[in-house]
Amino acid sequence: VGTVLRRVQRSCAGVEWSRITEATIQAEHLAAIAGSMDIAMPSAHEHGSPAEDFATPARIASGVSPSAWLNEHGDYLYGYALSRVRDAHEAEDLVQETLLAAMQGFASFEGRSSVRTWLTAVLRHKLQDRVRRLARGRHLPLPEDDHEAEAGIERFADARFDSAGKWKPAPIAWSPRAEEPADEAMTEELRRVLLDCLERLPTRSGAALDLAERAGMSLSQISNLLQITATNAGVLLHRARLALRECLEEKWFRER
Amino acid sequence: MNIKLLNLNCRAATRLLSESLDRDLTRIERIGLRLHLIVCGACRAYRRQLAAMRRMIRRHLATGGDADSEARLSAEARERILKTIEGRA
Repeated sequence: VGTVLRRVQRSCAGVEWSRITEATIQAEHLAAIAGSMDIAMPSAHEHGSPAEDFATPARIASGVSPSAWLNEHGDYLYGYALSRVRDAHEAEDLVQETLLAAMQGFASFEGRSSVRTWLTAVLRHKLQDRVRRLARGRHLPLPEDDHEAEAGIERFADARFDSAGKWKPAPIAWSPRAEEPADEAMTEELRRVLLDCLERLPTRSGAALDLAERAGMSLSQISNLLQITATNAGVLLHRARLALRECLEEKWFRER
Repeated sequence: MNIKLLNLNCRAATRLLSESLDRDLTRIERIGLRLHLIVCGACRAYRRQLAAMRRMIRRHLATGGDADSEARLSAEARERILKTIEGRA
């Protein structure tokens, strides 16, 4: 080992100090390997994927049992997902994705919460992913033919105010009763009107509003996600809200 | 400091009302907005409507809210999910 070290240092004679140091470190590394038969290559288990990790008997014994999770918590997770996405197939897929992610991530579950709480957290994560994916897929990049719609909502927002910047006409007060329909049928009707009014928004303004109101994101999160400035995101949200307000007033609150 | 912020018109005030839902307003923005709302019934109505829209979307469409405790996975869905997760195990 000493010979190796001296040879490396000798071969570096004349080159600058940092190179020598580097060579010395390499030599010491070689020496360490030569000096200890136990230090072989980095062991294979350090490179195992979480999925392989999961399949060890010890893990299974310690409580990874996706079929039991499905039995005990499947309906609960499904109901939770269904209340968010309102589509049975999508909700079923979310339950499946959640269980798969939970199997892979079981190592990070340390029993500090109940299994159900933990599974719910995984599902919530999946739901957030979905909203982000939706925003990306549907709204980015801005489709060419949507420039016209964005220009349209800009003109619309401008036209809500006169040259002095005053409302024209002023918003009418909404009846609080209309906001909370008494029966199922009316609630479903309101839901449909809301979706319809949101659907009419141009893609980018609509995406910004979805992220703010449906996903509960802040202005900085939205501008990051849509890759626009915070000022720009603020403008999109402002226009979207003016348009949504007018649509709801026309289709819901005016007649009630 | 922008002096215009202390003398807002409805166009600027509605923009700030919208922003206030998504970020914390600065001190001067808050003061300007409050002054405008004192004298402007239309913008006060708009503020209530913004709050109502947020409530309605949260209640009826948001990705948050209470779980649907009546919902049951169908036998077919349960079978399919079980197959998938056992295939991965």
